[in-house]
Formats: sequence, structure tokens, C-alpha cells
Amino acid sequence: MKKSTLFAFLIIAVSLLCFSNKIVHEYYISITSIDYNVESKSLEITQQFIAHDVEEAILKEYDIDLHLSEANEHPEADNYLIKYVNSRFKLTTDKEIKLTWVGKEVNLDETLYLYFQSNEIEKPTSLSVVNTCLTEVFQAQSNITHVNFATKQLTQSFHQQKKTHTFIIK
Amino acid sequence: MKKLLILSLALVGAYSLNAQEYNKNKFRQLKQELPTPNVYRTASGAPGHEYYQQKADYELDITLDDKNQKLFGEGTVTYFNNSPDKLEYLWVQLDQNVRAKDSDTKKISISSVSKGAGSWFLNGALSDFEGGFNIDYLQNAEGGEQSYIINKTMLRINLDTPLEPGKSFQFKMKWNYNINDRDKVGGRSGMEYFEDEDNYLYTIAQFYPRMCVYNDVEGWQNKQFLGRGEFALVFGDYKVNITTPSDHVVGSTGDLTNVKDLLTSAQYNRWEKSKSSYDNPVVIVTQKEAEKTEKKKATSTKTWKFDAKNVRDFAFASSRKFIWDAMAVKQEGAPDVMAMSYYPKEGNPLWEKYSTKAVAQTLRTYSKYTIAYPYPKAISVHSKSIGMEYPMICFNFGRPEKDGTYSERTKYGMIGVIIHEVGHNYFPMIINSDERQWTWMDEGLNTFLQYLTEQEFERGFPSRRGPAYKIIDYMKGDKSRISPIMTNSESIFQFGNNAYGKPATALNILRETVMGRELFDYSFKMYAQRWAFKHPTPADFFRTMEDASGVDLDWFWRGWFYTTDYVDISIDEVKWLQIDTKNPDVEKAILKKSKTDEDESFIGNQRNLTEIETTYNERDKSLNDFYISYDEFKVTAADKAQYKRFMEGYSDKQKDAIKANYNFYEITFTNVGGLVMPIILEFEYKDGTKEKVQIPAEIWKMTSEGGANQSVTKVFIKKKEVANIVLDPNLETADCDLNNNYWPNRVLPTRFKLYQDKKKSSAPNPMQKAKK
Repeated sequence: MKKSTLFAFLIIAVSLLCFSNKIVHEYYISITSIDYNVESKSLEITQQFIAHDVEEAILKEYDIDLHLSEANEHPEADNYLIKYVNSRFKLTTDKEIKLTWVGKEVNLDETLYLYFQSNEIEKPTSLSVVNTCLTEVFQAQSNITHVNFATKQLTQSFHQQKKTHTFIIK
Repeated sequence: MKKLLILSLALVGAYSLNAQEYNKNKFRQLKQELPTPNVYRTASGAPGHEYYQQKADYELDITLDDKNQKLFGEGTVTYFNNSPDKLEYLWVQLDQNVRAKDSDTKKISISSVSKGAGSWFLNGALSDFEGGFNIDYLQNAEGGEQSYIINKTMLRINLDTPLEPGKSFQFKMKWNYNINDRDKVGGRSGMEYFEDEDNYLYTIAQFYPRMCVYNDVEGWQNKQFLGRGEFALVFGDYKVNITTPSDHVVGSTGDLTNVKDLLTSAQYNRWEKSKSSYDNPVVIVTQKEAEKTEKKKATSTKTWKFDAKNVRDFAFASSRKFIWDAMAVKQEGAPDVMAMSYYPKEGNPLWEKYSTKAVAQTLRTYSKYTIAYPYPKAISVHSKSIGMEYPMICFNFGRPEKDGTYSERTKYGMIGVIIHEVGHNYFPMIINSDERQWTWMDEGLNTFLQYLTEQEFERGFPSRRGPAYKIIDYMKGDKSRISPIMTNSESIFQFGNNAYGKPATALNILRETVMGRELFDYSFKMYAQRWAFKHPTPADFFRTMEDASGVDLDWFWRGWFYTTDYVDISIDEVKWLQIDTKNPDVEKAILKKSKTDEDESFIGNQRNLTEIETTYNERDKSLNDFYISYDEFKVTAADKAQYKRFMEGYSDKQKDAIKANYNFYEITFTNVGGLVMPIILEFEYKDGTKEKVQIPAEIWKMTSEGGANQSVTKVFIKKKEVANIVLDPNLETADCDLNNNYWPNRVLPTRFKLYQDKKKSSAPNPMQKAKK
């Protein structure tokens, strides 16, 4: 009984969030590109977010305001971004792939780019992806993920109802 | 029994035949998608000769209770039936009910429990806000009881006798509601609480019973307000008296008719001065005055009286924290407009510098492309973290740091949102489309003009939407979470890209590439003129753009607005040919060269040259005969005679063309993405010069199904030899894959690679750094 009451609360909370949207910022989309670099034998990950959305998510998750690209940018901003993405974006071949931070870029049009890289691995023939970034904050969030090193570009969008997908790479 | 079987077989036959004949050509006209033209809306996209629209006038007395953050209202609504139809009932919108505890919006929102959710989650969950309208009474004009029923966010007035065409109906209502804290509950309107000084800043809208639209397209537009699909409203005249604490400053839709009673004489003089200040705003209520006012709380009240003509809605902002500035904007052939801003000190220094000037530029640019601004004023109010529009007034974000510095992101975000929301005065406030049904009709058109305004505000303004290449990531790839633009507002996936970004991009492409600026601008302005102060639909827009320009755009509307196809055209193959001159002197030399080249480049022959010192027949000449010395490429007298006969058949002009030695490039293109678009090519010649060629989208017309995954081949004749060819060199078609746009083939570096190559040293908020 207690459990179901808590659940009801959470439903209300989520629905209230729908109202707190910035009216002109209704974007709710991220784009992840996964490339395989034959020379360095590593996966190269480029993630494009709306900077404001990520700031909101991190504020809600860790109670930290990142102030990205501002003078008072949180000194640990990179680490919070890494922590946030690592907990929601996972790549697995036969085992989970460790991703290392390469860097970030924040543009004036509110786009935030995050760059990650894997250790040296053989070119995968299948790649399982978990991508739930921002879906806990925005009901309409879509995380479009492109795998670019197959013969034909592979694409999947992840959202509240689609959290994992395995790409078969030919 | 037998007969039956034959009949059913015949039916199956007919059905499958039908399926085969279904026309999937991407160039087929939109006859099935667009409604049949009629006396209300013509096939040319203009209002028809019997076009009508309803009208609703409002006289309201509003009291803002600052102590309890509550709004009390009382007033009369007069509804005019200009339709040819008898109305048995009237529908009224009660938008505040979206925040009622039993609202459908809460019930239908999809949710799940995530374990990582922090304290924000519980804050929201524990909020105990009692939203929604509380109705004290609803009476007819005589003060008698009026029968009505509330269906969530809609209220139906049950008429005793139907309202005849040309007649009006009046009702009175008294109501109140609790004002929502936008930080906690969210919302397009509401209040912001400044905790450290215990003050409120109110941005009030959807605060009264608003008449629904009744028209020839929807009947009553009474789709429930679920929070996303915005509003559909009728034009009318408003007289609104707003009573607030006497220390509040109120900005509102409409003319302020008792300004003298409300301002100090110094403020009144500044107000008068602002009316002829065209270059810089005049501050009417200064920061110093506002800071003094906000320290105390008045117990008395004042009433602000506003009068608005021919508006579709009414909104206002009120606070004792407001600074107020204004400047006049000149218009060609129309009265001056007052551009104004209301903002708390927290908005400075950004707001005093940019807000009113951003309003002014919006009026200038939008009026150029649509109609002269018809209202006396346009206001931008500073309100944390939202952007929301109403006639003559809008609420906008953009707050500097506490130390008075601000990042570039904040600055451009603020100017962008002000342009966008002020721009909404044109779409949908004046060109009054139905937002509940079609978000793109106001957001898409408005975002397109926002882009044009931003570029006129500052060269290279970092616009978020508009340029074709910015929509690529949205349009390519997985289609399961993308909907066509022509989708009802409540059912759209990826709202921002779908209803703002994609239509704005599509219009830009029409203007820059498909139609050209001249044809586009005339047609777009025609649409605005035709439908100003009326209710247009998508068909009216599509038809006007086509009818006024003489450009068949059905394929464009179909591809960009009715499908989720994307643009990806590839260069598959380039064949380089030269004409056969038949001149034996030329042709035989070429043949000989290519034969000799082939022979010489073969590795075996190369090695044999040195390894075989002499061959048998070189040592023993008796092995040689006629063929050893015969040169098949030698020009004979017979060859020359044949050439002479051949050339006699041609005119001098043709002879010159043959001798000029043209290069023929046969290029094969494939439409990988499915969205048909013009093919734009840039040829770069061996001498370094360049030439741009545009082939209209109709090149895809005769391919099967009009281009989806089909190839076309076209020959280009060039005097000079081509070094390389680029497809869409100026990124104007939103081509999603540029890797197949080059000949010879080029592989483009990934963004990751570019970032690695020049790791940017980010210097955040240089303004703050400079200060230190």
C-alpha cells in the first residue's frame, strides 16, 4: 500500500514537469555519433545536447548548477558531465566498454558537444547501446544514436520506452 | 453459392488492382490532402466571398490579491454570431483548469520511476497547489441563472433558444483562481517569488473565460487544453480594469487610458518624452524608483484601465519591482508604435540595454515581410525562464549573474527569445491561425522571421534555427520518433524540431533556393495581408504561396510538410567524354596514345624493356613481314577522303562545335533520402575557376514514384576540363550526408576529429574575466 502511494506521488511530479518547459526551448533531443577509428583502434563518441537541458538534469540529479561556459562554471563541471553520461550511456560488445573523456564544447546556439573515446579494441561486429540521457527529466526526450562505421549508417532513437538497442555491424 | 464465390473473387481482383494503381509519385498534386475550396476559402488561398468570423467583446474587472497570490475577476462577455449558422450552444475555454487537481494533463502524462531522481522530484511531488477556476456565478445578461456544463478545460453554455446568425449573446461571470508559482508548478503564466525580499512578479494570462473559435473548418474548436497545443481565439474588443496594490506597475495588452492618475508627474513627463524618442528608450520608472518601492508594501490599491481593439487575447504583468522604459518606432504609412520593456532590477544591465531595442527591431523586420504593426505598443516583460506571447505583450527570460556580468549565451538567448515572442504578435496574434490544431503555423512561420530579424539585428547572430544545415541531425535516420509537420499539436514527437525548426528551415529553403527571394517575399507578404485579422489554415498558406508566385510547390509541401523523408542526394558516377571529331589526324593520334599508354604502363612490359635485351625478330630480320612495319594509327589518304565527306554534311557552326573539343560529363545522381530537391552543383575547372549550376527539383519527376531511391543521369557540356564537382556547395538543401556529394570522392572529417585537431581553449564569460 505504501509503495503505491509513493508511485502516485511520482506520477504527479513527472506531470508537473511537463509544465516547467521553457516554451521556446522545446527541443528534447540529443544526437550521438559513434565512429570507429581504424588507426587508433578506438571508438570515438560525439554527443550533441542542448546545454540548458543537461544543466537542468544535473541540477536535479546532483543539486549542482554547472553554469556551462560561464565564468562561474562549476570547477567540477567536466566530472559531473562524465558521471552523468556514464550512468546513462553504456556501450557493450562482449564486455562493457570503458569510455574516457576527451573534452567538451559549448556553443552560443545552446549546443553542447561531449567527446568520449574507448580504449583500444577490435572493430566490433555488434554493439549494445544503453542511452537514457535526459529521459528522466523530459518525457519527450529522444536520443538519436548513429553508428557510422558499418557499411550503411545505422540509427536508433532511444526514449522513455526504448532504452537499449543492439546494433549488428556488417 | 457459386455465384457468391465468383463475386468475392471479383472483389479481391478489384481491390488488388486498386492497390497497384495508387499513385505514389512525389510530384502528384495535393488534391487529396487539401480541403476542397469553397465560398469561405478559395483555391487561390484567399478568404472567399462569404468568409466570416465570430467576434467576442469583453468588459472585465480584475483584482490582483498580492497577499494571497490570487486573482478575482468579474465581467461581461458579448458574443457575436457572424456565421450563417444557428448556434445551439457556445463553448468557452477555462484554461486554468489544466492545473486543477484532477486535470487530464496529469492523468495522461507518461511517467516512470527512476532511482536516481533527486530532491527536485519530491519538491514537485509534494506540491499542494490548488489550481483551476472557481466560478462564483455565470448569469445571462438579465442577471438570471444561465445553464452551463464544465467539461475539464471547456465550458458549454446551453442556450434556451439557438443564437441566430447576425445576433449576439451576453453573459456575466464572476470567478477567482490561485496564481501558480512558475518555479514550482510551471506554466505559461503565473508568478515568480523573490524570496530574499518577499516580493512577487506576476505574469498573468488565460485569466478569464475565453470564447472558443467557431468557424467553417472546425465547427467549435473545443479540443481540450492539455498543456502543449496552445490556443485558438476570436478577435474582439476589451475594456479591462486591473486593480492592484498601489505600489505596483502594470504592463498590459491595450492602451492605458488613465495614465495620468497612475504616474508621478516626473514619470508622466518621461512617458510623454518617450513618444518622440526614436533612437533610445526613455526610462519612465527608474531602477532607483523601483528599488525604493520594492522595499515596502502598500496597503491601498490603484486601478489601471486598459482598452484594446481587435485583439484575440489579453494578458498583463504586475509588480512593485518593475522598471519601465519605452521608445517610439517609426513605420512607413502607419502610426508610430511604442516599444516597451518592464523588468526587475535583476534583469539589469542586460535588459535596459537590449530589451526595448530588440522589440523595435522585431517590429521593423516583421513589418517589412508582413504588414505594418497595427497595435499602439509592443511590450517585453522580463520573467525568469520562460518565453510566452500574447497580443502586445510577452514574457521573456534572460537573467544576468548577480555581479552584473552575463555570458554570451545569456545575451543571445535573451535577444533571441524577445524577437521570437514579440514576433508572435504577427503569427498568431494578427494572422490568427489555430494553435491547438497546428503548432507550426505560428511557431514555424515565426521562427523563420525570427531568423531574418536576428540576422538584421547583428551580422552573424548565432541563430539556433533557420539555416538548412542545422536541421540535418533531426531529419536523418530513425523515423520512429519523427512525425510529419502536418501533425496535430498534441501528437508531435520532438516538438521544437518538428514545429519550429523544420518549417522555419523549409521556408528558408523555399526563399533561398526553390523560389528565390523576390517570388517568395511577395507571396509570403500576400499571405500575411490576406489573412491579417482572420483565421487561416495550412491550405490557405500552401495555396497562397503557390498562387501568388506561379511556382508549383505541391511536391515541396508534400515532401517537407506531409512526410518524414529527408534530403540526401548522391553523386554516384561521373563519366567524362569528348566528342568524336572523325578527323583522322586527331582521333588516330588519340587512339595511338591511349594504346601506347596502356602498353607502356603495364608492369611486365616495363620490366621486359630492360630484362629482354633483344628479341628473336630483332636479331633475325628474316622473321619480319608487312605487319611488322604496318602502323594501324597512320592517317591514310582514304581516311582523309572519308573525313572530308563527313564534314560536308555539317554547317559551319556545327563544324566549330566539333572542333572546339568540348568535355561531356555524364553524371548520375541518386535520391537516397527520398525528399525531392533541386540539384545544386559547383564545377571547379582545371584552371581554378568555378561555376554554379542549379537544376530544379522537377528533374526527379519522370523517375519511378518521383524520385525515392531513384537515379537520374544528366549530361553537362563544358568547354573547360573539370577538376572536381561538389553537390550543394553552400549547404542550402539540408542534405544529410555530405560524404556522397563530391567527385572525386572525398571523405569528410568527423566532428570528433575536428575537435581533436584544435582543442578549443574555452574562455567562459570573458566579460567577467575582464572585470577581475
